Amino acid sequence: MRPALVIAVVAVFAGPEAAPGPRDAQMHGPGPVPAVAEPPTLEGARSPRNANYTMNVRLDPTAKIVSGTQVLRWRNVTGRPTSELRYHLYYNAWRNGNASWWRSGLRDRSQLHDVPDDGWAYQDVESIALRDPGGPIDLLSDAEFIAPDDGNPDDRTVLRVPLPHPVGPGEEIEVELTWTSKVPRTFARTGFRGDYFFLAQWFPKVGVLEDDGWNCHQFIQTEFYADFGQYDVTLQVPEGWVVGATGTEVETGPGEGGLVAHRFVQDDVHDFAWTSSPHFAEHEQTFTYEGLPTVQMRLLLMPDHAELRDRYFQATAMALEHYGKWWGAYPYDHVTIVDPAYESGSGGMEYPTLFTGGTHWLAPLADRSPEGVTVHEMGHQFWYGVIANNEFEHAWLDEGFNTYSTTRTLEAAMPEHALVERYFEGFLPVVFDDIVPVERTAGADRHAGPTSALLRDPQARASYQTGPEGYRVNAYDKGALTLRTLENYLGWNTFQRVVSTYYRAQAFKHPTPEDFFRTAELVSGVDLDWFFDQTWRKAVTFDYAVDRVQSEPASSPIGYAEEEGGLALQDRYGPSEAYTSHVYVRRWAHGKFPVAVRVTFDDGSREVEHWDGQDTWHAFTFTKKAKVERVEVDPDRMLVLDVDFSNNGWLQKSQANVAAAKWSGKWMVWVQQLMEGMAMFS
Amino acid sequence: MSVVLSAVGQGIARLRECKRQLAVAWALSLGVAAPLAATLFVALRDDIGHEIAGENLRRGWDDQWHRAFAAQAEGIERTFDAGIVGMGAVLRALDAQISGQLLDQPAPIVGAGLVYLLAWIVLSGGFLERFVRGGDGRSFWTGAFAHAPRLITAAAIAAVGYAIWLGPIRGVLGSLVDDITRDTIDERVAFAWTVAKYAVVWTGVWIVALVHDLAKIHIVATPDLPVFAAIAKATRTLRAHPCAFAVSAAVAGLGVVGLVAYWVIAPGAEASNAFTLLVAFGISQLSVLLRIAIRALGWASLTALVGLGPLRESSGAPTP
Ligand SMILES: [Zn+2]
Repeated sequence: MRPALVIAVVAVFAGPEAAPGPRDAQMHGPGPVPAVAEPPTLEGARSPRNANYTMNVRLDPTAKIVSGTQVLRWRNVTGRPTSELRYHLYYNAWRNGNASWWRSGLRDRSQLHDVPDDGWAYQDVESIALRDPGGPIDLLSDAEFIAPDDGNPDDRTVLRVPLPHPVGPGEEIEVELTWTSKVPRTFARTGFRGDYFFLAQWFPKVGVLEDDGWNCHQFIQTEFYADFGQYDVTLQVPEGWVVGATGTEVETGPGEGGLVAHRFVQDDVHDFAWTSSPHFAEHEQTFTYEGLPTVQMRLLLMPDHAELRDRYFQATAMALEHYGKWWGAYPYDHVTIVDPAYESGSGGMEYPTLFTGGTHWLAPLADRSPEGVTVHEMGHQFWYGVIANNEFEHAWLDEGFNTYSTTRTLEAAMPEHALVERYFEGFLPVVFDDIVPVERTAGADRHAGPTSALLRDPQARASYQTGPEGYRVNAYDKGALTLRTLENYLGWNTFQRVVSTYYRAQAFKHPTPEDFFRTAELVSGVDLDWFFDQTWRKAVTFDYAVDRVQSEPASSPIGYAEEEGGLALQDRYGPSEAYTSHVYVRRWAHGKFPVAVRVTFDDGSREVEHWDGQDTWHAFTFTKKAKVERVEVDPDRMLVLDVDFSNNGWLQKSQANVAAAKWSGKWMVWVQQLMEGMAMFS
Repeated sequence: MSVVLSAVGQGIARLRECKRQLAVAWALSLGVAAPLAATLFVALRDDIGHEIAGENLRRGWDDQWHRAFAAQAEGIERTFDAGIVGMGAVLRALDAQISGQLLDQPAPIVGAGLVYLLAWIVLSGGFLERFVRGGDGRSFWTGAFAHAPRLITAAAIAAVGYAIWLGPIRGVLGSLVDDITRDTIDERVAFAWTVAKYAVVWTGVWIVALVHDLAKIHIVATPDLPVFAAIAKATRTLRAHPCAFAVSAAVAGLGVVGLVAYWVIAPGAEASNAFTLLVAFGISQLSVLLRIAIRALGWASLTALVGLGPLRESSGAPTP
């Protein structure tokens, strides 16, 4: 492991200005991409299509009930027979407070009392039968709820359905099911608010059969995992209600009891979500970009965001363009953007060919809302929709890759960014142009020291098993920072080839982290075991720093000096032309990474040294006609995983007094204004 | 209308004679806030040390440094972020005031605010002494201390009124608005309800404040008037002079105009050296002076409205 690092590092330390890694291009900005990355296979069946659903459902908006019928056409794609099916019944997570959703410790149980009467939900399977030449065979009588994750007998989110005879490898069965669900008042981004409905995780859904058995977790974390298939879903809603759903609408006609039936069809997806409300305004635009397939964008917009129509489309196009150029084309010819209702809690979530954005009525451009969330959720069409890793276990493969890509896209396409403060219960925004917030992937924002979640949960720990805060810190922040560091280390061109190859190779599959590691090493030709060992297998942090800097005259020592006529005792430095400077740099954390050290002298000259970062400290000595003025460890911020950048730089002439006076003076005005507020009551 | 304009004009004229006292009040604000600012200064200086962040913070802002600082900030340090830049200091404080969250700050800041409030109850006696009786700088201070005990009692009684409106009534209205808007899908509708909520709360606070201010005027005008009698009299005065609302609204309007003007000149995060730092600090203090002046102007104008105090040219011409 270690020798590999040394080889990689030595190979590139060619000149004094060489960067500490086999980079092949600039690290700031995306740089020119030679050609648009090739799209994944576009023709015929792109996925295994082993979990196919035909459903017909009715929405009763007054009773908040969704009920329907389902036919699942399911094929065993593993090498072993199975004698059962397992279904997710996600809505039962909010059946009552005994569900594992509430008992897992991830949520505050005191919130149970805040759930209004119409807030609870349920999902009851009324019949389930295997289609058989001799007539349907009832499966419901032997079905039972199981709790593979925590053994909670009260959890009803996984239904085990024994089959009358095993289904062998490659064999296909059809299962009929009817069910009724009460829609919650939004939990986990699904539910209703007034006459706005967003239905996600809403139908009984079969788990994923793998060679070692069923991967069908209880609903505890809001991450999902499913097989690809064809969906043919008829949604019956009241007349005048607009419907948005995964896929495209192929048929509209009369439904039961005066309802209108909308039929949506989509191939090669692993989930199906939909929304309906009479308040939506519909808009369409076409995305075109040379070298990328055309995509029809359909936007369902709430009335208070009418002004933001173009910004939604532009942000969607940003993601289609940049992700498409960098990683590979979006493989479907349409996408539906849902602008969620105010406070509906359904915003910022991805589903196949459909996602929810979310923004404010007053939304200054500098706030990047709805742009930030739109780029991110459109981005999930790639890192989730096409690359369908198991989110439940390796959430960083979708959230980390997507957070990294979101930041990169916003950097490339949306320079506007400034601090936006919101007042009056958040309704009124004010932009502060001269304050630019840092990007999410510009540096680790966890400075919790020894209590850091980064030190507790290695990335290799299954996402649903991480401790408090661990999921967000690992999946989003660390995932994105790991990729950004790797981009800086390998250089953009190589890294772009790595990721686009991974995207092409794993499209419509369920890749694991090892698939990515293998691709990275294969495409780059660089041994990266040392890197993934630290960022994936182990829970270490990185923190490089300037420790101490000294400059003193090189000649005429203090003490005894040889002079004409013997020894003379000197108590001060004599005239000197040169200075000896010692620069001590430090590795505070366990993570090891090669870093550059840039030293600037007070005559303006500069030296760039390279440190392999292996030892706990290192000293550089310079003898020059000038004293050290400034030291920067990792000046180009290659190692964005560094958990504290503020200790990376040192100035001989401290600026602390002016800086502290400036900012404490501004803060003092706030205190005085607060005092004026109190004096109003004098 | 002319009654209102004349009252405000008189108020401005009377205020112009109290420049020195206004300066004292401003110095008081500086004096109370300075120890807190000094504490933060030391914390920032020690944290920055020889770091390059110091250079970035001198030139502008360093968000990455702030993340590291905020992660281990304690007490008043936790209230420090870039949101206090420029007009942000004013808006954030006003927001806390409007939403009744002035007391939700770290204890040292609340403590400083309460000390300042107490000092202003005393100062208000001095200002009102000048407004009601004319007189010189010495009468300001003798007035201030002579009226203090009854003014403190009046403030304590008024505080109950303020607390009821900003506490339980605001809370109940908040729950009501939450109930009304629980199925609202349009943010503008929720905004309108929120405006209505604060309109009700602050109308209540406003009435309490006007009665309180008029009671103070009576306390100063009639030295042996008991506090409760002064409050009763103030209620009658408000009924007799409903245009007191207009006067107070006009003064508040002047304050808003002043704050908007300050917004234009408020110093941002631009590069600083010792000199520009001082200039920026001076400019930012105008926002404090403005609020002090507006508060005193409210009392001066109300005094003029109820026919107390020496009448002067409303143009504010200097008196002999
Ligand atoms: Zn995401």
